[in-house]
Amino acid sequence: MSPRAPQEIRSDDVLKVLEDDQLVVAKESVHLGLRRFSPALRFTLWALRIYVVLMLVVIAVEVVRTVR
Amino acid sequence: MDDARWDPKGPGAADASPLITHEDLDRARDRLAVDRARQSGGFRALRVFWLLLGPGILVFLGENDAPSMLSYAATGAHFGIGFFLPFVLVTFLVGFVVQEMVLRLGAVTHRGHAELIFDRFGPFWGWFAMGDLALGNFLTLVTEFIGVRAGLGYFGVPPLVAVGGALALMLLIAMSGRYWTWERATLTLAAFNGLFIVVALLAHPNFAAIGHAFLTWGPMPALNGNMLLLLVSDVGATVTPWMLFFQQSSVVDKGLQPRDINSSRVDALLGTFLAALFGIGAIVACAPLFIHGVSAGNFQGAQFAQALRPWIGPVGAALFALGIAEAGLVAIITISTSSAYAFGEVLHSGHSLNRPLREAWPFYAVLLLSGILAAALVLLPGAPLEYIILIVNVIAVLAMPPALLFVLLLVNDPAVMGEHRNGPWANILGGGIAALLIGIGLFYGLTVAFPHLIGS
Repeated sequence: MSPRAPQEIRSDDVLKVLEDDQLVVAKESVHLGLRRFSPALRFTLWALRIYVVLMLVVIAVEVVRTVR
Repeated sequence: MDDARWDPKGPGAADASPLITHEDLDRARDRLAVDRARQSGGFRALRVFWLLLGPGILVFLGENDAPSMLSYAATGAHFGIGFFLPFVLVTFLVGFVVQEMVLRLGAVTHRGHAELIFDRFGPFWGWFAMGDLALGNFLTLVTEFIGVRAGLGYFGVPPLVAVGGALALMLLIAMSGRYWTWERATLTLAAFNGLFIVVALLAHPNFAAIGHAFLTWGPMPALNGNMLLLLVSDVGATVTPWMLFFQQSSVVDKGLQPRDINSSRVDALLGTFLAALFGIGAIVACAPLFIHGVSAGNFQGAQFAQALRPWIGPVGAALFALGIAEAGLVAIITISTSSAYAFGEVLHSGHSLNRPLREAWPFYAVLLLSGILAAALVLLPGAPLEYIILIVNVIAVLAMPPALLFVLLLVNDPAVMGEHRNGPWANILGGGIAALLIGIGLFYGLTVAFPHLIGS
C-alpha cells in the first residue's frame, strides 16, 4: 500500500490534514525566539565545547602516534 | 512557541491556495492517506503503521553503517562471543532513548534539528553544532565509501566503479522528488542489513555460548587499549550527532504530527532491535576468527570476508562482503541527506525531498558535493583504513555530549514542546547517557595521554 491513492488534492484538503504550523509559508514566517541563557547554562555550553576541542586534540595525538 | 502563529484560516489569508507549495501538497497527500487508513476496516493499525514507519528504522539501520559493521566484525574477531553481545544491545537501547526525544521534537515542532538550534540558541552556538555535524558527517561518509569499495572489491568491482555507482544511486533515489519514494527505496536497501544474520547462521554459532553471554555478560575480556578502542567505537556505532539531525528532519519531511508519536516510537523501537540483531549478527559471524586465532588487526570488509571463508564458505563470504557494501550505501544516502537537511534549514533554502531540483537546488547541491568530496578522498591510496574507521566512531562519541545537551534543552523547553516535553525519567536517562558518554570520552583521553594506565 502506498499513499499515492489520493492523487487529486484540493487546497482545502491541505489545510485540513496539515497542522497550521506545518505549512512551508508558516515555517518561513514564524520563528521561535532566542531563549535566555542562565550563567549555569552558558558555563555548561562552554565546558562541553572545550571538552570537544580537547578530545579532538587527543585523537589527533593518537592518530599521529599510530601513523608514526 | 511564538505567540505570533501564522493562521492560514485567519483574516488576510482568505485565499490560502497561492501560499500552498508543491512540498505542502505532497505532504498533504501522505497525511490524507494516513487519515484514510485510520478510518479503514480490517488491519487498520497495521496499515497506519505501514504508512508511518520509516524514519526510526532508517536512522538505526543507517547507523548500522560500514564502520559500525566493521567495528562489530573486529569485536567478534578480537573477543568472540561474550561481553560485547549484551553490551551492543544496551548501546542500542541508549540510542533509542536519545532518538525518541528527537522524533518528539520533529513531530511537535515540524522543524528540523538545525533550525531549532539556530532559532533557540542563536547562530553562535548553532554554527558550533553545524561544525561538529559537518566534520563528523564528512569523515563518516569517507568511511562509508571505504566500505562500499572494500565490499564490492571482493567481487572484483574496480574502486572507481564501486564508488561512482554508489554516488549515482544515492543521487537517483534523492532526485525522485518525493519523500515517500526516497524513504521506501532506502528502506528496501536497508533490509539487506539482515544479510549479517544469514552469515552468522552460516558460521554455525554456539547458541549456548550466546545465551550464556546475554545472561552473564561474560566472558569479560581484559581491559586494554584495544578493548577500550573497540568499546568506544561500538558506542559510537549507535549514538552519533547525524542521527539526531536526520531523524528529526525526516520526521518533519514525512509530515508526522503529535498524534503519530506513539507509532513513531514503535518505528524507532523496531529499528533499534533490528539494528541490534544485525550488529550482534556481525559479531557472531566473525567469532570463528577469534576461536581459530586469526589476527584481524587491520582488516577491511573484503579481508574479513576472505578470512572467514574457511568457516562460512564462499556463499557466506560473498554475503558478508555484500553486507558491508550495503551498509555503506544506505549510510551514504542517510548521512548525506542529514547534511543536506541541516544546511538547508540553516540557510533558509528549500530543504525537503518533496521539492524538485529547481526549487531546492542548494539542498541537492549539498547532497551531491558532500558525496563527491568523500568519494574522491576514498580513491586516494595508502591510508590505514581500518584504523580510520574505528577513529571515526570514536569522534562520534566525543562530539555527542554537546549535541545531547541541545536535545535535552529543547525537549524540556515548554515554549517549544508544550505538553510533550520530557518527563523526569526521560531526563534522568538522557542526563545519565550524556554523563556516561563524557565519562567514556574522558577515560579514553586519559589512556591516550597516559598509555600506562591500562595495557596495550
